[in-house]
Amino acid sequence: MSNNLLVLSAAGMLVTAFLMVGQKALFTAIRLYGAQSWLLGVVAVTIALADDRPPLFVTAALTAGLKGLLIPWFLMRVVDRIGIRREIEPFLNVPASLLICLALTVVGYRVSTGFPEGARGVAHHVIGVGLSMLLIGLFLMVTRKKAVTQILALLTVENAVFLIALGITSGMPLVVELGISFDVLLAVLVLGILVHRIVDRFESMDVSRLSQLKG
Amino acid sequence: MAVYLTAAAASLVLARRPRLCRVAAFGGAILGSALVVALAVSVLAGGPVSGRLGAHAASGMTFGYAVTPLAAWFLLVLGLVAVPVALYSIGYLAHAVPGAKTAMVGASFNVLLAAVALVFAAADVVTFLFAWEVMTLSTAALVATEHEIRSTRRAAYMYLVMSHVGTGALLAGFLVLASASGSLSFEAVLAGNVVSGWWRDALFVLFFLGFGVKAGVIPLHVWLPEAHPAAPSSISALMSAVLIKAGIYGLFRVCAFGLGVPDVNWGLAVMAVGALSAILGVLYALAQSDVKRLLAYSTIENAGIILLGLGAGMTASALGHRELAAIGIAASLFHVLNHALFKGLLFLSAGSVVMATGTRHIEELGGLIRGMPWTALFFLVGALAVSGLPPLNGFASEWLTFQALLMGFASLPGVTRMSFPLAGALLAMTSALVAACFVKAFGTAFLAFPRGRAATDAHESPAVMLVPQGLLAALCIGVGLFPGAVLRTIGTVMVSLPGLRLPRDAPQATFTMAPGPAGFDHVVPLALGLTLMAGLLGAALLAAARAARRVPTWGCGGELGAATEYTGTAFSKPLMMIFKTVLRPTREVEALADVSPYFPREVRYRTAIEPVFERYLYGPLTSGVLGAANRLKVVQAGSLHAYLAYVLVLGVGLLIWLGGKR
Repeated sequence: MSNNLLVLSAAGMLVTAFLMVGQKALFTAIRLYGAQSWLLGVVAVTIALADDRPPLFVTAALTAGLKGLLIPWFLMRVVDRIGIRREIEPFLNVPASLLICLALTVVGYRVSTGFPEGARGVAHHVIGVGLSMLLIGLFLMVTRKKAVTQILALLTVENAVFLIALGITSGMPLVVELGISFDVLLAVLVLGILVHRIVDRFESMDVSRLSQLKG
Repeated sequence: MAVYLTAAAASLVLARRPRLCRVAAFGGAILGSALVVALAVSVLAGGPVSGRLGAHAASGMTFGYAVTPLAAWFLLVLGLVAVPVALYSIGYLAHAVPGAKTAMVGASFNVLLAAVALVFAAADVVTFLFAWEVMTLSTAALVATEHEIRSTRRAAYMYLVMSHVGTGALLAGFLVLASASGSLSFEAVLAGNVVSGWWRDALFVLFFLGFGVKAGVIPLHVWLPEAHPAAPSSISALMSAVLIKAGIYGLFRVCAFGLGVPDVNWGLAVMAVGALSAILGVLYALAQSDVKRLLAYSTIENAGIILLGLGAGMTASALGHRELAAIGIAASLFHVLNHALFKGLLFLSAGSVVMATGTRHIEELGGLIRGMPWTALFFLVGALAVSGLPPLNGFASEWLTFQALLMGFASLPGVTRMSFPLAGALLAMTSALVAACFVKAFGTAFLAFPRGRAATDAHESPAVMLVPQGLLAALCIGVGLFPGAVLRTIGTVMVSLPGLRLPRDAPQATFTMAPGPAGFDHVVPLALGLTLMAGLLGAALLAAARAARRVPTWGCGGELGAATEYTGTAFSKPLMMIFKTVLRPTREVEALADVSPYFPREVRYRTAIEPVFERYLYGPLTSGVLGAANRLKVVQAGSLHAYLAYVLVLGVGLLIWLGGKR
């Protein structure tokens, strides 16, 4: 039962990542990220219940609270204030992006078979999902121009790393988890401010225009 | 070495007081160099000394020094030259370098000496490369002393670039050796059995390139004629006498005796490069009218002679002729010492001239023998020595080199047999041209009438600058008179090297040299020298016996002054014409006439030789590198997304590659 739930949530995370690739509206993308984080929380709770590891509850709560609520709220506020709501021209159109992400998922799964199987026998699913999400996140960073999408891509990568860590070790020490969570929060805050500055300066949040800063 | 570093520190501390600073820095250098000489002598008399400088516990690395007899020989050369040069610097820098820079020069000077000593004494790869780089950097700092001048900056830059290319080659070579032997100590790395097959050849080429840059052999020499004149004269002396020898030392240590029994082709390659350097070096020297550039090209020529001996020794060693190999190597080692002595002397004398007249251009000098008799005498001694006339030291080693080459013809088989006399012939031509070259330098600068105010007003340098020159001149004469004693010392060096066997009756008496198997000639330089002088004296007496009639020269109806004297350029012109296919001289005559073209008011004459290597080898190389860099610029687009894409592609590629392996 717990294994099924685990694989289901992991798969859900992968689906949200794919939806993000297919989505141009910024608000929806942020909500997708929130959903993804909640699913990560579910994964953590499942492992905590199955293995009887109470510290993982804290992790799950942090994940859901910070990444599922606080960060999406903050990003939405940023988007709202700037008034730019859509990713207009990605470097690659949506169908092509989806195809490439499919290929990346294949790569991720192919590689994950090399990892040792954990006690539950589902580790390679989790790791496969994690690696695929990591690659998709990187791909998003490469192809999207808007600063907010870049932040979301970074956060997706972060979620993916977290998922892989859960899959391999069934939970890192609590101190590490806390540290990572606050790191992410701070990064988002800083990036949010940066986005404001970029928009002020260029009247756009197109990151590719940053190259104009060159002397 | 600690003395050097202390002196360097003292020099920096006393930066505000130039006088005191000079004395402290160079006094320290003298003391340190004297200690180096003592160490070298004790090693040569006793046995190798080694020790540990420090160890890094975490990585298990140790940094040590080991003074082998070979290293001791080079240390001896270093010390013998450094003592006079340091003494000379005390006087010279007072005039040549403004007070504010004295501290910098003094410190760099000491650091350079310490680094070179460590290069010779290093016992492991890390220490060696570290010392090598410190040596390069401190030299660059010294070359750039007069950094206000554009050409000086260019020279220092060029030196740095060339040196780094060389060091890159060395680094690659040593890394291959170290990973193959699993150790960093020279004992293991240079045991000679680490690598085999074509790896060995590749390594030889790498090391030859790396050390060749420092040794200044053609075609890796381009930095040398720029850097030597740019540095203050005493520094030039040190560079030419000692720094070049660091490259030679590397060639000995690694190329000749570090990679196992040398291949025949290596020996021949070294000989070919040596012959090329010798002949081209002297030809370019002939074409110079800047005295320090002339000396710099002569340095290239002498590096070539050293390489000729080394190459002959390597070839013979490869073919199993151990006695012949010993002669070649001995000649090479002997010339290392001799070149250091007379080139140091010549640069110091040239420095005195530059200081007294303010110009390096010999066409503006003339008649200096009246104002500066001592400097003239010392320059003459150096010039005779570099020309290889008995009984001076240059003769001894060049004669040995000849012996090695000619005996090779007698005893070696096949194609190698032919290459030996060919190299010998080139060496003979080189010697003759060197003599011509220094007749030009000495004759133009010191004899005849002064050609300008600078030369008229020249006066002798202070004693602190003359004494070191006298010391070096005395060494030149002493070594020339007692070559047997020196050869005995070299004998102890060679016993320690593999693949050599001393000929039975090698150094017999103090006055004689006998390189070959019994029956080959024995030579007494002193006797030769006396014969030569007696001949000259006789000729002079004969000439004096015939009454000479003194009349003014016919001047075609015009006024004759100092400006119409026979110039150095004119002297070397016939030789330039003979070798014009090599030198490709260009000239430009421009007459400014007032009234009629037959009575020019002023004639301007400009002559230049084509820099063949710069234009045809380094030109395409530089533009090729720049072109490649330009094309690579596309990759460095400056776009964030492009960089991210690289990361993604690389990551996916790695995942597929590594994942697929399981």
